[in-house]
Amino acid sequence: MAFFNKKTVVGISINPELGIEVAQVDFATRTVLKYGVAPLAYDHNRREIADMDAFRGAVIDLLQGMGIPKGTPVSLNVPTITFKVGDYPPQLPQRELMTAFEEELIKHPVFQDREPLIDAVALTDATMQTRKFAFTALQKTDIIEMAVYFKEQGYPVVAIDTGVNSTLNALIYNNGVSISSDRPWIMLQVTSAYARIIAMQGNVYSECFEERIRIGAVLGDEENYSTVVAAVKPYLTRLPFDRLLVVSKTDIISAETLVQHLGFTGQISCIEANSYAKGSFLPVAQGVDEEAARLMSLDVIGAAIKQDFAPYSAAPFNLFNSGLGSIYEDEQPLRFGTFVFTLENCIVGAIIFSLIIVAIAAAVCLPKEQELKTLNDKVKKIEEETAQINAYLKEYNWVSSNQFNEADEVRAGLTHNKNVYSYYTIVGTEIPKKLWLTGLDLGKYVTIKGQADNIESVYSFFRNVNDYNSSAGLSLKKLSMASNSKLTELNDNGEFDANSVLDSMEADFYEFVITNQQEEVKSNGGLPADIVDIGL
Amino acid sequence: MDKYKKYLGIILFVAIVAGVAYYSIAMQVMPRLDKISDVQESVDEKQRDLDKLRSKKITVQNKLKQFQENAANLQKKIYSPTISDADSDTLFFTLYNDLIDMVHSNSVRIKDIKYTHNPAEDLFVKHGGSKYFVCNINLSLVSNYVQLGHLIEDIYQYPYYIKIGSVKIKPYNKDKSVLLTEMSVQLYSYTEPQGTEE
Repeated sequence: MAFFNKKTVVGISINPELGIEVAQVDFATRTVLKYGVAPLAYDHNRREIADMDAFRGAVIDLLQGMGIPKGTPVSLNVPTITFKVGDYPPQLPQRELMTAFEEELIKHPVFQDREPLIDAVALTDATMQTRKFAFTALQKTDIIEMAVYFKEQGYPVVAIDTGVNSTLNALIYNNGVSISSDRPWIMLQVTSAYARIIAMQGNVYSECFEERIRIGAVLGDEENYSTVVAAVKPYLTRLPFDRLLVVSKTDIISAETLVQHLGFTGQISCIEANSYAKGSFLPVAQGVDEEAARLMSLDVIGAAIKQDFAPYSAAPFNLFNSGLGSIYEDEQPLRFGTFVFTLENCIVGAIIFSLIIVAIAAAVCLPKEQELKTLNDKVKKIEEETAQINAYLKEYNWVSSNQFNEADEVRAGLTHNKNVYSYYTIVGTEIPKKLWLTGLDLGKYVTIKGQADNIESVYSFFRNVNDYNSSAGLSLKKLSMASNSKLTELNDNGEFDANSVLDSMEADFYEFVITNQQEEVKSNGGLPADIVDIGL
Repeated sequence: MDKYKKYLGIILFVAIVAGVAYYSIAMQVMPRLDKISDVQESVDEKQRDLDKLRSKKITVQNKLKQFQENAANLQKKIYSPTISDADSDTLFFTLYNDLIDMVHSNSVRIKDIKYTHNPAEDLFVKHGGSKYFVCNINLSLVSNYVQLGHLIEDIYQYPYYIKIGSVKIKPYNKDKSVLLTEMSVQLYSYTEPQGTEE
């Protein structure tokens, strides 16, 4: 999980009075976790580090001596060379704005032969008649050299600010000033070389003036304080303010004594960022040298908290900007809108996106699981019902066939029985005289065979039987004379005598067959197959 | 390499998100959607088959109902046993005894008798299967016209359905008043007590 731990920025401040200061501050608890200081010569005339090689060696020794691991981001504070507040046309393009700043900076001795690295912050929006900007500048080559060096040593620079703004940030951070947005107040910063009168409106810069002062221990207090008072009093007299905050960053001037010399009454506060301080500006953690911490500057605190304090700052200066070219560009993570693609942000973003995707997938899958369960239940029900119906259809397979109907079969059978009974009865009751039966078949077909001594009786009987049910299809299939003798054979000449033939037949009655059977079988003398000539 | 270090985060971001998206969508969501599609298709097919079966069942039920209504209007019912699991002998003797009683009570003499259980050509056996018990009886009878007429009348009047298959009558040569008859009858019975069919 250490991977996700945010690295605590280390603040490094170049302090003309103390040297090199290094501090780490726990932003949430306002506690100084680590603090160290090393001497460093500063050239007040050139406004730069006197010996850059000495700086390199000292700062790395200090960092390693304090146990600051490589990879720790560095927020650098450099003494202010110039800090200006001015009004500019609201719609002025960025390029022309920078040109305007450069034109002002060229008047400054430091930047007459040194290229400036500028950072500007808009203090008001673009809707007003003029737009107020605050800007500051440092020697570009020096800053590039420091940034490259820190990076080579494994301490990437993430922010650069100057003393004026770092001091204000530290004061606001530790509630050192009571800010009311609509009331003017003045912060007076005194160093061994300059006095800065910074007019504020709430937490926003309003105006800034810088006076070069020449003070020193050898001059005596009276002269030193008189010099400072003479430098700042004209501004304090002219500028409106409700409250005065005096910050002394030099051991030559005590803020409290200076206030007495100024002779103002009203709301006046003093901050001793020097040897007059009675204690450290912030509480210190165990292991931090309290005596050293007592002398700790506001600048190094402002540098240490810079990254975390940026969202609360009305003037979030950062000279580690695009003006440094590839040094800055290479260090900047990719951005998409307000999202910065740092490794930590990417991992957190990936986790959030992944959770969203998983949540969406779950939101899709869960109802689908339910739907699948419902479908499976439906399949089960369908299969159960199908099995039941199949069993039912198998059980009643005979019903599904169109060939069989129990009731119809019974009804047909009963009709058949009635026919059998009826024909049997009719045959028995309708027989005329001189007619007798030789066979009676009552089944699928009705066949009545008999004999009679005259044709009239046969026809009468047939008519009576047929009248019972004319649709039965009964017909008189055979009606012929009965014969028990052989026919007289023909003579050799092929002649015959008709009377002789009739006499030879000895026929004295007729045979008949009544039936509704249509098939004829030739081998049976023209009678239906199941009709057997009984020869009676 | 340091200048590319800034892309590490975004590469990691894309890799993680793509991996999770692939796992979630390709391995979780899509298989479920495919499975649901398959099951839905199967459900539709089975539902279509079931609808056809339901239609067939309704047809069968309608036929059954029609049969029952037809049967209710019949003059005679097929004999139904009062107990379940009655064996074929029990069913046979119940009807057979009644038939023999009818023959004897009309003084008809039996010259020969043959019977066949569940003849395959019978429509009740062919279509009804185990629902029916059928016995085909062939009787050779000796009687006069009146006696035979009473026997046929008794069978005709018998409260349960007995089918007279055929009656073939010939007079006896030596005495024309004596009739030699070949009679075929079919006895029918349900194999199980009949209640209300579904």
